Amino acid sequence: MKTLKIFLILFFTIHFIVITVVGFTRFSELSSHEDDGINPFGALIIKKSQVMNHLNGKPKKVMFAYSLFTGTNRGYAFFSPNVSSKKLDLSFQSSGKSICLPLKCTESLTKYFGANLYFNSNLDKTKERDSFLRSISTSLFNNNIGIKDLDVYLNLSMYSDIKETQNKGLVIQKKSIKGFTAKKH
Amino acid sequence: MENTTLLNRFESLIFDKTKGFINKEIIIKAIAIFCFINVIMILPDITFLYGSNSIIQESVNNQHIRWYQPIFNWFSNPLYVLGVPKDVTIIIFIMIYITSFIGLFLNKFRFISSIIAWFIHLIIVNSNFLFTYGADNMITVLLIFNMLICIPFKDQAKSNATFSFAIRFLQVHMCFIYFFGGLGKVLGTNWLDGNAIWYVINIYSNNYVDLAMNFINYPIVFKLTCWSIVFLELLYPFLIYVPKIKKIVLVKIILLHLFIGIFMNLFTFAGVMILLNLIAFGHYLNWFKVKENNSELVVAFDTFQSN
Repeated sequence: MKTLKIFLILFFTIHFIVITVVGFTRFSELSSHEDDGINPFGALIIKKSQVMNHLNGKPKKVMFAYSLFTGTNRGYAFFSPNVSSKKLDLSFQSSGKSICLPLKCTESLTKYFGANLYFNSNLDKTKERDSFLRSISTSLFNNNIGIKDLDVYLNLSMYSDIKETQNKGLVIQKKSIKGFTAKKH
Repeated sequence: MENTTLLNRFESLIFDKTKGFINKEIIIKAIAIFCFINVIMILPDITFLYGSNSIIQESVNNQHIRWYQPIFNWFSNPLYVLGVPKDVTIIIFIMIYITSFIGLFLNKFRFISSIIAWFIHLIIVNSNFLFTYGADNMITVLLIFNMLICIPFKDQAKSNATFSFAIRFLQVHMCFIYFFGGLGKVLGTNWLDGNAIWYVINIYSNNYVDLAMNFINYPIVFKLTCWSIVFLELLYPFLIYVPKIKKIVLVKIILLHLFIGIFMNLFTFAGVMILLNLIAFGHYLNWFKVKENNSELVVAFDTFQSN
């Protein structure tokens, strides 16, 4: 019994050390600039969290490996530090005809929306963006045998904040950019 | 002497409390039902999410995971060489996954089932890493907890101690989740000026924009909503243990997740968070009065009035 209790307490301690390290490491990855919507307290916490970057490489790697198997790898700061005022949708067209994703279930669409959020935050990383779009295009070519080319549009909607909405009503600025063109080989 | 007493009290708090919590059998069955429904919800799309025709191809997914994270291809590639189509391997794994929940529910090979459920869930998550979101990580936490309470001990005392530990473990885990959730929100500006909830309504639940527009000239409504969410999350680790208000805090956090489910359409996320809260602190509500009689369970629905 004593061995079991010691083992469990050890597990408990390690688990919560890992959550703390992962949690603050996620904060340390944030930009601390005021322009990015960070308040002075936030800037302080982000700066202090950067201590985590000085942690020895190997223990940190082991901790992150552990976190990948326990569902603690992404930290828990959902919709933080700010909720984005932008929404990004992808749409697909072939010869002017709209092509739909093959997903049917609400839960799959929620997962896809999650991927879009990731895509949205990595829009400036051309290599990652293109590999993501190429992957979706390949899948759509396989599911729609007849199509030979595919245009991927990035539809960005930017919403006015409360103050602006009070003055001008709800303003949604929409931009549609052709982000990628794929051809079937 | 005093230290020894303190240590004993700590040990007792962690390992010796089993009576007050929600019954283990109910917890395992609830987890099995929830995860079963969760996988059924994506079943029609399984080949588009993970199969040979997946929206995110293997090469792209591999850029986002480590070599040691289990994925379907670990099994589907060797079996493909033997003539088994990749999609068939994936469907076999999903069937095993579903069977593991039936095993958990029916108490057949429960510990093995709990390990299989956790491992296949990891495979599902890692095989389309970009499509995972908070709910998937929370389900991993739920399945880790499930493994812990399913460990088969011959000694009843060890079994009870592990169950008591697992509940305490989950309680502390929930406190960490909300604390980091709240702390993350106070770093920015739009959870403090009310814009966060305004953007959430516009982006995630645009059916309710007209309703929100009625309050646009009363920004305090948005501010108060944001502040109450931040306050609840940040102080959850303390408030959930304050005797006089702990029930209210639990009901409020459940309501918060209900709203997230209804208004943001994040049904799985809402469901798993409510389940985790009920497992960890549901005994505060005394919804289930469990009488053990010759190891047969009689579950009676109790009312709030008894509290």
